[in-house]
Amino acid sequence: MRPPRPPYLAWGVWAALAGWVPRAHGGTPPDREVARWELGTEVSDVAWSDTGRWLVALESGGAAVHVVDGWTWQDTVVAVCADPSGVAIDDEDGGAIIAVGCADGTVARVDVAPDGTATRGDSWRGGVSGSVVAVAWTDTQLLAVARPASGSAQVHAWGRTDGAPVTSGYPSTLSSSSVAGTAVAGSMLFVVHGSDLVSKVDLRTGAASRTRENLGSRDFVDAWAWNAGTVYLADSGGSLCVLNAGGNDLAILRDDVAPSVNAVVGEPEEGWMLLATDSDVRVLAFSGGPGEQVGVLAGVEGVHALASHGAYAVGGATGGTLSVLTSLPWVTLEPLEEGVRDVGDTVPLAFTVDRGGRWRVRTGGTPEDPGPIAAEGRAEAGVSVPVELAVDDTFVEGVNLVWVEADGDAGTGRAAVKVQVDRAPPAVRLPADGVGFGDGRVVVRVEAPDVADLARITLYLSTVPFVASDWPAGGPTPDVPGGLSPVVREARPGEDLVFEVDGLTNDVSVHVGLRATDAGGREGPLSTVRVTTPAATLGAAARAGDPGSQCGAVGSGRDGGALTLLALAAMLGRRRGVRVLGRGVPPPATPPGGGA
Amino acid sequence: MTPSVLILALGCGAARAGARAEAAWVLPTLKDPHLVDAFGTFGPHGGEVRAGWGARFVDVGVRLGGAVSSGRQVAADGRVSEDEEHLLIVPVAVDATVRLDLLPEGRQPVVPFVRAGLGGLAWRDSWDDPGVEQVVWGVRRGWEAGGGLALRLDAIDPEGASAAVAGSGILDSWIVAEWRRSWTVQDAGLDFGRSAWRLALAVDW
Repeated sequence: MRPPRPPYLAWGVWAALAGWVPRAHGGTPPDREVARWELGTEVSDVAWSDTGRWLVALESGGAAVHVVDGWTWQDTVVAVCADPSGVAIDDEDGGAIIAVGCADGTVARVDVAPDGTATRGDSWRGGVSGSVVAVAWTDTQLLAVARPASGSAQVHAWGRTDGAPVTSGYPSTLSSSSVAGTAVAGSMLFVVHGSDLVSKVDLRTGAASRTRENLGSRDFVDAWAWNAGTVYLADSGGSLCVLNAGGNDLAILRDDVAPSVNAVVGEPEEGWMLLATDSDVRVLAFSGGPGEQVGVLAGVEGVHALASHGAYAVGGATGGTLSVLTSLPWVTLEPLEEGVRDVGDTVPLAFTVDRGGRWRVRTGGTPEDPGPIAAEGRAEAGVSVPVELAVDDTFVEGVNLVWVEADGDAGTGRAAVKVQVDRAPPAVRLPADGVGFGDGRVVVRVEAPDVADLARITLYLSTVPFVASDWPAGGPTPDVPGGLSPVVREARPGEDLVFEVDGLTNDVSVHVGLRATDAGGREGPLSTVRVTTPAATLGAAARAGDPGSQCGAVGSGRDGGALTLLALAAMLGRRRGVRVLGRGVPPPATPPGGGA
Repeated sequence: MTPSVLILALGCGAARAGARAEAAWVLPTLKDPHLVDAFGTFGPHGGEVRAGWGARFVDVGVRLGGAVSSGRQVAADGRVSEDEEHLLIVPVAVDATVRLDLLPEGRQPVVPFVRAGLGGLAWRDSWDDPGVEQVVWGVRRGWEAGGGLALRLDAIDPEGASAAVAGSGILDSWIVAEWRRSWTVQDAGLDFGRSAWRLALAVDW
């Protein structure tokens, strides 16, 4: 029996007839499939990280996960385990941690680095009987729902930070052996078991309970938790149901969606909800609850797993495809030529948009904090737009994201491409007081440039004056007049370095300059050239002409003999001088040259 | 100050006789330009201890200190180099102190004092002369005079002071700030005469 329809739905009907559909926050629901990727034979689960940066698709046919960068839309494939079932992802320091349920009772781990590199980590394991069929992240725990060979399903938990199994209250035993889907909201885990049975687990205690209300002939296969009190359930029998978690009450919201509803997801902030059926994806308005159907994404067939973030949703299909659904313009960037760029190079970008409108190219930044605009214009739908982008000082060392934004009626769609830049290091800053002298030696103190791929700094010395412009590369070496052997030091970014060159001739001026070199062998410009002159040096006593007391004759002409003991005490305090070489400075890689 | 004067002062001023111990941090200001070039104006700083015996107005004491500093050698043209130099000074002195502790029974919170003494120091100057450590050392005798203020801690924390008296026999405790000028007797060489600020913690038994 259809439950009474809330008044706002009736109001929504009138509004829809007037050409306007109420939405909670003004977002536009997905109106088309903008991309479809063939991942394999079956995509059984999908998940999107909270920041939207990463999404993951479990290709159970190939026993692998596809990690998709939500900025570049590029994917990385990582093999996991045999017969995987269930995937969950969580953000971690710019990257992500992915958990995959495995048939052997473990949970496979995949670590995603901020640059998109995905690697297989050590599995979570311990105390699980049977196969892990669903996983989920909370702020503090990893949850795994395991289906033992016999008996009811169990929920296991591991600490988020230490990876240790949680034993207090866990494993939590559910009231059924079958598991069709899970959803987490607040401190509650909801597990749908098929039929009309739903369990909920209080994650603080591990205590499990089950729904009391009977909705016969239902077969729940997926759940989406709007909040800790309200969970929407996809019924393979074709209905959309809701669980009022506080009262353990089940209700049918819509019993005429389609012959089968396979998955459900929603974006309340955007004001929409998606229901996947065998033949399409239905779009419902969402404002305090599901509203009227506002669209049908025809042709998106066989979707059995949905995930969403912001204006985007993805659907994994039993045929092995992953579809991207949105109302925003879709930007397709043509692959860049492989290579490393330097300042002054150009990047030949080319892209298409599926809906015409204004576009912008930005360098660096993120969707939330965009970088400066490097180019802009207007594009026609489906027509390739070439852009010659100059690498300038806005590009940083390493990987740079170049964004293409396209404006549409529903908002701005964007995609990014990675541009590898290897800039020459900057000139080493050599202040006037960074150059000192000693008796037959020169001491140079510098701070290494703060460049990520800095490899070494070379000190050049010459008794013949030179300036930086004389040496676009290298520096004076013994094969040129006045040149001395350079001193090469490995250097870390920002490190304080001290160069000491001994064996020089006193009273002969020495000109010094430095050059930084990065890991790729790219040299920076020569520093300011400074000059100093080694000279004989004297201690204070010697300069004052004070010979001190003679050995064994402390009581010299002006000293009291009674103070001999004090002099002996002073002798006991003798210590060797210590040269201060700076922080962690290794010995010179190249011996200094002979003096001039 | 002759012994007879000291004895007279002790006799006149002694409401009670006792001992005083001080531990001090000393920041000297060097006078010799050769030392200033190498070690800076403030030069070697360090600590010293002093033990005294006397009464309310006068005491006599002995003092031993130690100070170290690292500096730079200087070229003949006056340029300060990167070559290091190290200085160690060990001063000793015998001195007498006159305190204007005028109110009876420890009721004067701040007590001015003047102090003078005879003493000297041992010094050691060392540096590397490429690869070989060079050492010059010697001793100086001299004299000194100074003065300052002593803050009676009982005035700040009477209960704590009473507890200290009961528990350890300490009669008074002080924070002492002193300025001192020292002269060395010499006719050539380094001049270790200096002025110094001195901050001490003192206790009386």
